[in-house]
Amino acid sequence: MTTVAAAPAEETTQAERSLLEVVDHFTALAGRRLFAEESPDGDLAAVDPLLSRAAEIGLLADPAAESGTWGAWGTHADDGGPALTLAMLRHLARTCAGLATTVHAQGIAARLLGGTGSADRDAGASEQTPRRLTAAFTPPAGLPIDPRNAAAGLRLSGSVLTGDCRYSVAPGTPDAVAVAARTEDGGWAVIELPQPAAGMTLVPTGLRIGLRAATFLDVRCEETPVTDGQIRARGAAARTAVVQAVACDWLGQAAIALGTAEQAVAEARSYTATRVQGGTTIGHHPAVRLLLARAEHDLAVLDALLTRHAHRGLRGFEADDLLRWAMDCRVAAGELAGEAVTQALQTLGGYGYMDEYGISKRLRDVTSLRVLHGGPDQLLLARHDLGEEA
Amino acid sequence: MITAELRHSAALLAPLGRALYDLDATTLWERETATLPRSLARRRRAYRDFARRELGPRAAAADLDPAGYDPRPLLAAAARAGLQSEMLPAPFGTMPLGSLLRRSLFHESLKAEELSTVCAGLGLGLLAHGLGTAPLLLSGDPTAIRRWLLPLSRDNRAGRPRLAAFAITEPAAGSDVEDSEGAGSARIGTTARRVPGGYRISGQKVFITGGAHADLVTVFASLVEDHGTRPRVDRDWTCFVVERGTPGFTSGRSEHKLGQRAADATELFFDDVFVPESHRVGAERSGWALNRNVLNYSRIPVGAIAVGIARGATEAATEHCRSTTLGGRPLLSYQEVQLALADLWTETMAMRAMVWQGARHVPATQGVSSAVKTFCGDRAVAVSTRAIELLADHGAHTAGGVEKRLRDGRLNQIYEGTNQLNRLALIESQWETDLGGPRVA
Repeated sequence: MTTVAAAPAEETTQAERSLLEVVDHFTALAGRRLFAEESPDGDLAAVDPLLSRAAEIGLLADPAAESGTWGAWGTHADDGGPALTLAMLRHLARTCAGLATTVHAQGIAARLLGGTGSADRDAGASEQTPRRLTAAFTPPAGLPIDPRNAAAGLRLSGSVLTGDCRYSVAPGTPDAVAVAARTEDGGWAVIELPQPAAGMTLVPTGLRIGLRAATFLDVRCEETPVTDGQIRARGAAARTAVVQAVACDWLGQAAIALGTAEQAVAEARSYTATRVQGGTTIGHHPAVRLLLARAEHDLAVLDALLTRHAHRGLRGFEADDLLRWAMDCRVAAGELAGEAVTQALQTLGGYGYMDEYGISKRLRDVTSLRVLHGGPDQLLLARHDLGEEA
Repeated sequence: MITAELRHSAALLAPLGRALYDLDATTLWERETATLPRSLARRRRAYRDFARRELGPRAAAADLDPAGYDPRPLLAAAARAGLQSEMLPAPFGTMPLGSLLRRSLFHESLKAEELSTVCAGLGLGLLAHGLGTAPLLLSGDPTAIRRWLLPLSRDNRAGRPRLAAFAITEPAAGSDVEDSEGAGSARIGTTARRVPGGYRISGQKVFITGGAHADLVTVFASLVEDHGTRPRVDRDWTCFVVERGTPGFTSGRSEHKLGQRAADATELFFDDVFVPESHRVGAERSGWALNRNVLNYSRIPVGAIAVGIARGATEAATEHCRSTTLGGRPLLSYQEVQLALADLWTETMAMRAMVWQGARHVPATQGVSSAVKTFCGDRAVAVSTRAIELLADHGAHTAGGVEKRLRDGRLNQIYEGTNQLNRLALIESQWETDLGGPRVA
């Protein structure tokens, strides 16, 4: 199995290598805790303590703390590019895509807040433990480029927030909500609201096909008062933060889909080396080899696309270029990782369909990722509307 | 939508031209039903009404908690409605006499689509009975038909549900037992040994739909001799009926699976089970041909299950687009949404056309049946996936009614032989004819 190519060896620093080792130790721990007993989604009660552990070792981003530098979507990506974060998420996803999505969600919310600090940190909270965050934006509704959604999402009028935002992803129960809101002048504001906040309700979205380790919430604001101190950015700075959050969200999803599919293919390959049919292991049958070959090809293509700009610092991206690349990755991940997982499942025949073997969970997870924060048609249209690359 | 201008223009056509121009506002379902012979059209309506009435209210809970789902009330309702006795005509069954020979596969396919449109899992739980009884009928063995099929059919017709299950798959032999190439070397473990007065069966079967509740199973075992020759599926397989309650016959766990969850997939254990000679179906060692022919017949309705799944996804997606607004307009009014929906409807129509054409092949043909099963299974997954994409985040949620169709449809690429195996079955079937391959001795 190809190992994660977070970055060319010569460009990977010792700190980055160490962090990926930490991630691997963590994923091994997570695997033991989540999947100690047969269950289609693992022991979801273990997710919260695992996230606490992830926070302790610095995997969770935090805009207010030094530890957030190296967490997923931490400030290291500003200059070093998304490569390290994408590698972290890819590693995490090999154990559980849902868990990876929670770590990713925290990072996206932190990125939306844009390293602006967190003035409202609870006095008693440990500096070592970042607050759990969820980002309230609805891509592609959050994009200024989608005219269909000009009126959708959350709107800030004066000092009052109104509207709703669907499918916010959170690492467990969030302590605060990072909101991307439209302003009266057609621009953007980034707001950090504590949870609970007057007039704001967080409503679970209900049972999903996959990513069940992550919490999905609808954020509903009804005349929610906002203080000046809670507004982290306005105008161009806010738009930059929104675009980065949206793009990084899609990039992270693609990395999680890729990691999920890589593990599915690895498991399928192991299975085909031991399962005998027709007097030989099924790995010798051209029908099975073709399934795996197609999956390997799909993953190689996705890997190439995802690493294309992965070392380019986020600060150095033009907004539209970043969005274009992110959309390409997310749409491709839906198709390629989705197809790779289904090919992997097929190699196991009836066993692949049973919860016991775990590949069916990976299919459910990549299906969720295929449409998370925007279906492919929406993304493709939005990409077209951006125009050609300069 | 037919505009007033078009109607006005059409009214100016000559009478014959007007007669040849279909301007009726009729659903596609009604249009396609109208192409069927009257008796089949009537059945299709009855299947649809039954599915909506009996499966609809049960579908969500049965999918969410299959272990807590009790299939008996639905089985009883299906029996009362005549759905479980359609393999025979009156007075034993409910198949119209005129349909028995040439249309029974069509009936089964129409039923499979309508049930699966609402819930493929609940539908499969009912359809499995037809599969379980198929060896009895297709063996052509008058004794087996008289002894087993007639009473089963009569009881079901009277509203007393009795279920049969078909048992071929083993832990170490799945596709092997559905493929000529693999059959010779399949590691089949279920054997039958001749003893005075009958046979003793030992072994294990897995993934048996209906196995948890079946009153009897049609089980395939290799007949073994005392001189220790390694049994071969394609030489030694023999079909037997084993009734529930027979000493040594037990069912094990029902698997937790991705979709079609309302239908159980159960382990069956045969621990030196004695069955009298009268429980053998057909001749000794006729099991391989019998098994292959059962699959020839069953793969068409399995294709129809896939049609139902795709239709269910399409209808759920359409309903979502009708009832959801975006930017102040119904989602349905956006052209890109219409394009995607058109794809879903078109694909489903193409699948159905293939099933209906396949169901006209009597006797059922391996190449055609495998092609139908493969195409429809693959397209059901594609349609369901596209429907999820169309609904975006909502599509991944259970409430959208679409994600279940993807989970359900994925099984259609696996059971009744994987789609890879079915592709090879098409080639095998047409090797010497369409492909012009060398004759195999």
